[in-house]
Amino acid sequence: MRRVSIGDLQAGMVVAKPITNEAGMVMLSEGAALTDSLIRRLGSMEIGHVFVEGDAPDAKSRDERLADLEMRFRKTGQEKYMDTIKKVLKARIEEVYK
Amino acid sequence: MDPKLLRAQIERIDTLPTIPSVLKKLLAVIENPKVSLTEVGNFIQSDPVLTSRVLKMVNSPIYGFPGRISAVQQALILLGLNVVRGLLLGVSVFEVMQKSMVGLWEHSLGCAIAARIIAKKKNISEPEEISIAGLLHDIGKVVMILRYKEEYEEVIKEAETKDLLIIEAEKSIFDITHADSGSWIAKRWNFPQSLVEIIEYHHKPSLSRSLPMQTAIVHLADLLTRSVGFGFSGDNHVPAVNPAAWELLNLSDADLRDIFDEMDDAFSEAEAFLIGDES
Repeated sequence: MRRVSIGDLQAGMVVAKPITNEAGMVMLSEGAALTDSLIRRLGSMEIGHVFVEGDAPDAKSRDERLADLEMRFRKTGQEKYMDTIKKVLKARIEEVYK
Repeated sequence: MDPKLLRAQIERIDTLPTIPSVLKKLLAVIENPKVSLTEVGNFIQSDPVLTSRVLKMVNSPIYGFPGRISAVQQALILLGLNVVRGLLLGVSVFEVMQKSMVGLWEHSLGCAIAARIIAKKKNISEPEEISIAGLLHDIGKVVMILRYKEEYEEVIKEAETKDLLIIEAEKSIFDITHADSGSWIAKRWNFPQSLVEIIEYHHKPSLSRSLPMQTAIVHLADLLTRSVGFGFSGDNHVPAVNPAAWELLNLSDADLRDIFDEMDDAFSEAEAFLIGDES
């Protein structure tokens, strides 16, 4: 699963997490294949991104991304409040690969 | 090096032969605090490259205006004179940035975007001004590279070999930092005091007296942009957040998640916008 911005969606991509509107109503459920007209309609809604199946062609693996994160926080990850920022970032990476 | 001498040399930077001519021409216009919107508009429109860059920036996720802005005059009215002056400086130093430190331009754009997103979250009025401060927060690095190329290469080398932050290496070699040089040059070029102050304190936001919130926002935006690995500020690790600034911003985990989500979306749009400048 990966996260794709609305402007980068392409026909044929398969929805990996239900897409809901502002009211929380499911607009497209898991497994739905996107078409050009669906993408256009999504574009007119207040949606920033969609989770779709598969990895991006040049995507880094979960472990690579976690290792990059550790590297960036290696000197300051233990400092006050930096642990919070790191924790949120780590959770976001893990969520994508769940 | 003597800070007074450094300051004097940096303030005269526009006389350097290595300064790009477009920047020199531009400085003559933006240095004048009394310049009118019409004059700035005419100047931009006299140069097709500048026009295209300004419109690109205005339509980029840095601002997030709905709809497309296709006329320079419209952009000027929407953004106001001070923001446009900052924007012009940003687009004209970007070549220098790209040549001198690969990734610094991306880092600056990222920080501008993140600053706008945090400002919106905190309901700050005029997020565009904070965004410009984000875009220009590292202008001091550019002027130091322009004025002291060799010494600055030493800074970069020193940071690498001793695993220091760029700002620490600057202090050890110059006795001043890019926050100092950036605020000097912003003042010299008659940028608003608010911008001068944010640049001066973006690494020490708790020292900002008149704009603690705005300075804290740019400080955090700088840090968050580094923490997701967008662009390159010269440092290979993220510096620690200033605790007082973090407490002042008072963001919950959920706020932080929202901010990262919005940054992700804006960055992926921005990447498309970064590739190929003059298309």
